[in-house]
Amino acid sequence: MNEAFYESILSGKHMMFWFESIGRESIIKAILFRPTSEPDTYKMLLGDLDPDGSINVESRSNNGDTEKVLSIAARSIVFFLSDHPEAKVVIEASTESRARLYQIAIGREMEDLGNYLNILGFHGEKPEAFQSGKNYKKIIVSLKTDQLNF
Amino acid sequence: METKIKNEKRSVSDWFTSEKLEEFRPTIEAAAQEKVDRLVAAWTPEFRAALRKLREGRIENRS
Repeated sequence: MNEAFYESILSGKHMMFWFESIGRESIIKAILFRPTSEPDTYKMLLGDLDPDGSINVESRSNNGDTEKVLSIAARSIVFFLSDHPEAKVVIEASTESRARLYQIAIGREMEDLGNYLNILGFHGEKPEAFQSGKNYKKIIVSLKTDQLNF
Repeated sequence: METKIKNEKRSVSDWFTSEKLEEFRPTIEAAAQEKVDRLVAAWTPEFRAALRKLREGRIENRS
């Protein structure tokens, strides 16, 4: 995995991660989990970090390493939830193409983590259990509470 | 050709350090929170109701 991502895992309470996207160019990506007005509900942001500290969530860098970026993003959710077991993480796709990328990445991680994660997809306002191959505008990820008894 | 590609790559090593990111953390988090607040304001009552049901354990995931 990415050395910078390891550094960010060790830093803070897993509310912010960063890593280097290395493809056609080198781009610093940041993943943030921010609280919302809903209790125990956090929104995940993924974007490019600029040297002035601003984060661009709209950019389409087309850097040639999308799969790696999404895999790191999915892992960051797990690290975040390990520190915030009550949290519900909302992921919103800004475009149809991003919705497709998110469903591919989450579907892949489900193979490893599906037993531990509760993943709901939203078609409009109606929630359903996440299904690989279906695009959702919104996705909510949380820990399965029955997996928390060690 | 290789030289051209190298020249086009952005250099991040001059600013990307953990210390620099920690310095920027408050700015980054504030900017992110502003974006989140704007996006969350657009959530519908139906979506908020679904979130509430999920918190209360009234939505079951059978996956």
